[in-house]
Amino acid sequence: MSSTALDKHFVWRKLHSLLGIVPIGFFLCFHLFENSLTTKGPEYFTEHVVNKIGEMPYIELMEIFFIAIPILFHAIYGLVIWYFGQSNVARYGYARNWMYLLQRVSGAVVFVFIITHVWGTRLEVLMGDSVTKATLFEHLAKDLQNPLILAWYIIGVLLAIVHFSNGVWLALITWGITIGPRSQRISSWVCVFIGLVLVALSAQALRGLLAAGV
Amino acid sequence: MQEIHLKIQRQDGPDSGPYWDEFKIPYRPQHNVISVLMALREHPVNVKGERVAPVVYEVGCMEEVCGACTMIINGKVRQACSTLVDTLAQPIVLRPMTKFRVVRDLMVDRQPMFDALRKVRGWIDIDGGYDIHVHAPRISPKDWEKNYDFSRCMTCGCCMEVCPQVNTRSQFIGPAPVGQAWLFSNHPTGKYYKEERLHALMGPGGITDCGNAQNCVRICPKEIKLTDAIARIGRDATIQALKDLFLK
Ligand code: SF4
Ligand code: SF4
Ligand code: FES
Repeated sequence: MSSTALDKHFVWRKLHSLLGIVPIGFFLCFHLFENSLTTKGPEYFTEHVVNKIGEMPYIELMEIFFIAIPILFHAIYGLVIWYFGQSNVARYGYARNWMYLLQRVSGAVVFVFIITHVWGTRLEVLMGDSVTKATLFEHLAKDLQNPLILAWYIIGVLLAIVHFSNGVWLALITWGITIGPRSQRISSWVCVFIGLVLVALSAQALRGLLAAGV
Repeated sequence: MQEIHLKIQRQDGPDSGPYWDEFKIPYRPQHNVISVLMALREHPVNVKGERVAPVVYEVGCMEEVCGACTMIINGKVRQACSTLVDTLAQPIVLRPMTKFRVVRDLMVDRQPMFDALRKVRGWIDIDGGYDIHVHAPRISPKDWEKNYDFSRCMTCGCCMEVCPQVNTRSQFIGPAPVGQAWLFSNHPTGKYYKEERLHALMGPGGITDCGNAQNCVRICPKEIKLTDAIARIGRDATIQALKDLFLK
């Protein structure tokens, strides 16, 4: 029984939970929002989204410290958490028990998706041979013409949204905000709503990219 | 129905492997699973006609208050004494719980749960360096009612059995001890050790290891609001962490 300083295990778990909301969750919402602006066409998007963000001061540092490192930690520590669980939906098929499993599976799939996604967009621009900021929109629009890539994007984005919405529901409990079954029921509807809004934004993004497809 | 058909997962000792044995005993109305096992003990002959060692099980109260007879019956973990044979599909499949060490046949060792209670200080002091109970401790009827709910925990292990976070890889202390920690911290004299209980639950295997699958609250035969306790302890642990950070 430790009675003084904060336990490391507790701090890591809480950090894992917190990072999922800020900055990762916030970034996801912002990212889907900015991408929904593809509906305004390639010129607008390149000028007002890609370039604006590129011109932000300290953008590389922010990307590394507020996006890349938190996601890496959240994903790898999440896999550790998965390892210490033992799912049993076959025997106890309650809805929440399925969500417990889905949270883990979606996390793992989204991690792989993020790696491929960042590789295919940001890193290719950084390396700067074939893709530049100016051609990023076209490049993505062309990629998405391939049905396999399109399917992979749809799966990745949908699972990311599921993982985030359910994660908000979980964080509300573990941080001690929603305690009783009634408040947890209400928060589950709020989380479904958040998820639907994000799905709508993603659909917009996709629509914009596909409409401009070559 | 002329016979009761039993399929039992047996094990001769903690270190030997499990095997199945089948029995048929004459039907009698209003049997429960324990009374069937008692009847079987009088005449332990399996379907192959072999006379075998009687099936070992644990039993105490016979009225679902002690938790000793908990086992997996037709795939669901529950108390054998309060499970009526007439409500079960046959063959009746009996297995020991999987999250505890098997002592023999259907009898498991629930010691880890009692150790966990010790770890979270799952009791109140009745004696100390000062007069603890000069008068009966005061408690509001509302708290009393809530506490009564949690006080019915019989350490049966159902919630541990269904919890995905309780397994041999993890150190998670499990839902029942979290519920008891909450109970004793909500007691008028028990509350003086709230901080100790929280710290015990803030280490490895503590509250942050719960994955909120919420199976525990669905299965508990006493309908104890385990997830309420888990969420409250989660809140208290967050507040305690802030106190540890800024007040110390
Ligand atoms: S909380 Fe319920 S299921 Fe868990 S040990 Fe106590 S009585 Fe059994
Ligand atoms: S809510 Fe927590 S304690 Fe209860 S079954 Fe799920 S993981 Fe286990
Ligand atoms: S014998 Fe006590 S609960 Fe079944």
